[in-house]
Formats: sequence, structure tokens, C-alpha cells
Amino acid sequence: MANTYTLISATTLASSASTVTIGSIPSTYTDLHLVCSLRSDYSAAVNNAYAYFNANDNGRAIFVYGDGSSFGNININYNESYIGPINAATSTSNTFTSYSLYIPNYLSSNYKTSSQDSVTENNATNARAVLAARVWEYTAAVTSITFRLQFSTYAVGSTFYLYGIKNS
Amino acid sequence: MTENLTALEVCCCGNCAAEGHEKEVIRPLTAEEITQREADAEAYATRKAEEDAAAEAKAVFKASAKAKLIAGQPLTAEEADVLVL
Repeated sequence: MANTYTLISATTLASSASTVTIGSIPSTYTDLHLVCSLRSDYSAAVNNAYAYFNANDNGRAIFVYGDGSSFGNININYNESYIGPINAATSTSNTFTSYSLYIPNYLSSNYKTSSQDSVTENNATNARAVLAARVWEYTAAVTSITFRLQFSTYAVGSTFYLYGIKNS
Repeated sequence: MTENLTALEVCCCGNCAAEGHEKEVIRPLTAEEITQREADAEAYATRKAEEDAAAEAKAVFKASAKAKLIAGQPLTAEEADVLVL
């Protein structure tokens, strides 16, 4: 059981945004946990989302996914910080993708590994669940996390909650 | 229609007012950020094409492996791989 689990930042989009950066992350915790509810304004059922640290890509990841009718895995070696699909404009109204990213030891001088789980929420077929192991190949402490999209913007109502965990 | 591409920057310093800056700033995307979006799209298209090609190849090997098993013929290494990997 974690000794502390502290809300660092809570953001709900009041207007659409192409990128969202949570910056000046304090260096007073051991781990970070980011919990998001994401939807895009892109005119399709899903849109591809990306997240990276300190304004630097250079990430790799292994994904395992399933969508109710198929499953598979993806190896990301393009330094593109891909985190998977999120709900977009033609998916079921008022549904958002649940996204969780855990970053242990975010201050260490090693490469930063993290684990992710996410699922698109769609009251129809083809909702996709994703598990991913990620590595960000820089040794600097994580001081900011940026979300971007392949197309369009994050929709109003998308939320970004960042928690700090101490002595976990 | 031209997209209104904006970036939201949220500060977690916990002392924004005292330090004289806003907790949240909205600004237009930079040219570099727009270029990055284009690179993302290109990388995704490349990976998607590779995934589609791999899936198609697997389906072909699987079909030929099934046909050979039914006919009692030996499988190639690729055909065996899709059955046991």
C-alpha cells in the first residue's frame, strides 16, 4: 500500500486542444500515475493518440490489444510515442477512452519504463482494449508529459489527472 | 476548413500565482509541433502497412498449411510457424 497518493494536477478541457502538456511536475515523489478520460473531435470512430515526456519522443513500446473479435500485438520502434486509439467524433456520443499510465521511479537516471492500460468506450462493436509496456530512452527526470493526436483535437470534457506516489 | 490547432499547457508547480504566471496557458501550435503531427501520421501509415502485409501473409500461409494437412503433404517452415507460433 502506497504511503502517499497525492493529486498533483486535475485538468478538464473547457475548449478543444490539439496538445495538452502537464508541466513543471514536482520532484518530490517516487512514482507518477496519470489517469485520463480522452475523446477526440476527429470525424471518425477513433483517432490515434501519443504521449511523450519532456518534449522528447524516442520511446519504444510493446502493445497487446483486443477488440472483441480479434487480438494482436504491436511493436513500436518508430520513436513516435504512440499510445493507441481513443474515441473520436463518430463513436457513441458522450463516451470517452479510459487511459492509465504508471511511471515508476520518474526521477531516476535510467531510461524510464512505464506501463499503460487503456480501453476505448463504445456502445457498439469494435471497442479496443490495450495493454502496453513502454520505455522512454532518456535518463533525465520526467518533468512534463505531453499528449498529442494524429488528427484534430482533444474534445471538451477530456480529463487529465496526475497523481504523485511517494515511497511506493 | 482550417483547423484551429492549439496547445494547452498546465503548470504543476503549485505556486503559479506567487511566481506570476498562469496555471493554464493556451497557445497556437508551433511549426515544429505541426511537423511532428505529420511525422506521426507518416509513421503510423508505415506501421499499419507492415501490419496489414504481415497479417495477409499469415493468412496465406495458414490457408496453404490447412490444405496441405488435409492432403497429407509436408509443410514449409513458414506454414508450420503459423500453426505453432
